Amino acid sequence: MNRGSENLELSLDMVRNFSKIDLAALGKLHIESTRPQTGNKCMFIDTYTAREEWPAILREIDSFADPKQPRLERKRVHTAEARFEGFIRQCTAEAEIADCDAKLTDSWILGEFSWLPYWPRQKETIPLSEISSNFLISPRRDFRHVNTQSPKPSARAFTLIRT
Amino acid sequence: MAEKKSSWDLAKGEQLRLKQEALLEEAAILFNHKGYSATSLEDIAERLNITKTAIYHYVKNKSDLLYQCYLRAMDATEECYEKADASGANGLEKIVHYLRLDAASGPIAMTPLSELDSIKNETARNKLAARLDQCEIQFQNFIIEGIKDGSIAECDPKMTMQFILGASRWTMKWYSPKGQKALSEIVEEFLIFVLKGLIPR
Repeated sequence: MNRGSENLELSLDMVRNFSKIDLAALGKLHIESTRPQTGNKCMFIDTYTAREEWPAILREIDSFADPKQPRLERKRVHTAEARFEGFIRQCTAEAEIADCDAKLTDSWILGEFSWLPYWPRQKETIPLSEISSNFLISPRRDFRHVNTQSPKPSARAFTLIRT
Repeated sequence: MAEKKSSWDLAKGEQLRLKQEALLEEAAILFNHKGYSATSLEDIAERLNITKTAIYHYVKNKSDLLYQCYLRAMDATEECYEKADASGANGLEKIVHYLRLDAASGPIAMTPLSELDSIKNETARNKLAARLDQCEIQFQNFIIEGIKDGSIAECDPKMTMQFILGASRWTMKWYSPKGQKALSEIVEEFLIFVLKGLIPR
């Protein structure tokens, strides 16, 4: 098993464990992104993104030398994405997030994270953990300047779950 | 004095341009979906119902094809930024206009920007990277402008740019022209996602 596959396997294990935790779906989406991983509380997104190899696999999944491997890996990635989509549906059902197209939302959120390894190419780099933390805030805020009570980004960093 | 081109010559030139456009579009879709290294010229030829040899009429090799895709994508992207800058009344409108214009450009503008390193010619690669950086700075400037004019909530412009462009660019990985939703519909839902987030309404 190559390193990329090992990481993918580990990530999927995390997802399996994480979905067993009794938490609101949104909690499953966001918890502990910037804290060290602790046992089962390890977060799905963190697991999904903290490893640069995984987004790389997502891009280059067809490049495996073994012709059977791409189909196999794609199936596993789809399983993980379907779980994530399930979390979003649950969030919507629990009215924690706005009614939305779960599949598209899933693609965009995971897309942001999949794109993470691209950004360090810029001259002024921001630590991945900081970007990751910000990405978790962004979907939960109104980008337009209509919510005057919105706290500043730094204060909002851990307020993804509605209080 | 230059010889005047006949209508036949003009038609031939137009045909060549259309074929090149079709080649670049198909290549961009395949590079996005399969990745650059897993996509062969044979794959692209098969999708276009032509021979691999026919592709060499338009490009030197696969790296050159990627370069041509990039050039086309950068031209389209810069044009979108210029139009958005000229037509948007404030920072937020410029972002909305840009995202709509970008989607309207179709798959041709959706070149896999992460594949820049696969362009072998270093000078060409660096020039493209500089143009790409400039586009990203332009997007950040729209955000800064929006914060200043009050149309956008206070945020970190750079990270917000990364958030929006990351999600937007990944769309090209899964988008299919044969899919259930048109790119124009997808971008409208994306705008809701970006502008209002997932805040319960």
